Amino acid sequence: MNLDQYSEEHDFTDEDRNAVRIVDNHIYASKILRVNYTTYDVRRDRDTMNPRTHCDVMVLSDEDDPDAHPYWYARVLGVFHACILHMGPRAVNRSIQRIEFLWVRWFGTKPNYNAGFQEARLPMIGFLPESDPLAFGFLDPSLVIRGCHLMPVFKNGRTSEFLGATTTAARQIGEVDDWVNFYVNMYDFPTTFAICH
Amino acid sequence: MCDADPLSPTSPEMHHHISDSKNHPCNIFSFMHKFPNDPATKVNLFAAFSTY
Repeated sequence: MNLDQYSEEHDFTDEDRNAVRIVDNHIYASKILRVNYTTYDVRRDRDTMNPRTHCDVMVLSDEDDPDAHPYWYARVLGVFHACILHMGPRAVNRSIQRIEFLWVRWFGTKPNYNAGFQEARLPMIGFLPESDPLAFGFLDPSLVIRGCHLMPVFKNGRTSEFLGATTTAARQIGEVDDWVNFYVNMYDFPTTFAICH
Repeated sequence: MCDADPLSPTSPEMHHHISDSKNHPCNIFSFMHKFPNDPATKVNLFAAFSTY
């Protein structure tokens, strides 16, 4: 069954969910995600990311609005692979398949905030609140463009409003809140942003 | 979770590379119960797999 890349617009029935079996009910965690990409000067480069430290990635935005920011950003909480069986009438491949997936916490762009070279401002993002059903999810690693460098907006401080739980898999041990906003350091890859503006 | 998980060299033709190792298995049910009341673990894993 092939669906568009993020699937958040698709409602899966219980029948769809019951058609997927995870072999042995186990998924397998990995420490490292390596992503190869092509630089602006047509060279191959690589980002090596480890979810145990802050591991942030960028993907192409799925938004149709031409004024929307071209990228979405996510913090990778875990890197996994699993063996699954897809059964039922809508299955395309009924053999055991190895799949890879990232467990992520999504960021959102700050509303009514224009960024870019013309504005002389870095993009500003913040975690989606836990009330948003899309705050946490899974991401196909083949959709990751590369890692990204995020810098806290110190003047906006920290908050526990996005995620109230004090014990959570979404934060580092000892952290009980989040930075309200982050800047995306687009000077790591200026041409990527210039092409989209 | 993963103290040692060496990753073999990555060919530049690959888009991404994740270890094949099964040294760090996670039982999906006990994993969810490890963090009760945590919104981060209340994600539909089976719905995600249906996109592949």
